[in-house]
Amino acid sequence: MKIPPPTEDNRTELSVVPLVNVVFLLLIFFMLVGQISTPESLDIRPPRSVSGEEGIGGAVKVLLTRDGQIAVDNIVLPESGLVERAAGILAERPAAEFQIKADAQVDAVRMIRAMEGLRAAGVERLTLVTELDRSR
Amino acid sequence: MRAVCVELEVKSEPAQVRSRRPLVSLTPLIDVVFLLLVFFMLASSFSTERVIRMLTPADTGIVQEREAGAVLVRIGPGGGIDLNGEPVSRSVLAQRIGAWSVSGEPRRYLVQPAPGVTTQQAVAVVDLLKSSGAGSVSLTR
Repeated sequence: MKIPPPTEDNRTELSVVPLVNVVFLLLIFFMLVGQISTPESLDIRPPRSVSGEEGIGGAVKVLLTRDGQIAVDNIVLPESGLVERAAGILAERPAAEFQIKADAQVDAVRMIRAMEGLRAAGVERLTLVTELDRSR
Repeated sequence: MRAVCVELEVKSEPAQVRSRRPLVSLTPLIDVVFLLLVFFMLASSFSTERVIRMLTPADTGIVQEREAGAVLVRIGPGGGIDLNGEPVSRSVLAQRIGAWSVSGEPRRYLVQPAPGVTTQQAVAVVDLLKSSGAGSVSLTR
């Protein structure tokens, strides 16, 4: 069986169109599935969990690192400034949801104290961020 | 078939239009699509974040009333679990809570980690309670 050598025309036509199709599919996939979010100012690995629900967008994130730093909406604060900052946010957006994102190695009592601080500031919608554990 | 078409083209079209180059070139389009693809690949994150809803006083009114009939689950510094003051294993805890949830008794669970217990351990206990059928779980100190 003899296969004729491809001509110049045939070769370019054959290679480009399927490539473009695949690239378009990849583009659509990444546009739909990926979420674009601002990177966080502190490095945190939240605890792994099997329960929980999807978080909502636009929540105020309170970050707690293992070395004792606190950040609200990516701004690092002293621990004593948390209640005041939360009250300030609530004055602007009374129905704001607060998400506590604590590192898995943070002392639980410290995290609960931060929660109490937020409740004292008047936060009515409070959630704890975890990472879905797919291994279980 | 192809040969026939080409022949027809040759016959009917003038020589300069006959070239098979499309009117709009595909290359700049592909360039832009590639750029968009690279942007979305780098900028998007596939997070598997979940949230566990925590109770606030606004959910249930007065705190004291809420805690009166609650079951206290304490986590010791070594990770041991106390159910209302009685040390239990994880499987026993899951069984008891399962039985309570089947009997339909509305119970509230307070998880109290000792100092030194990590958030991961506390969340693991909250997970255990929820998967055994506990309805409302809150953390306390």
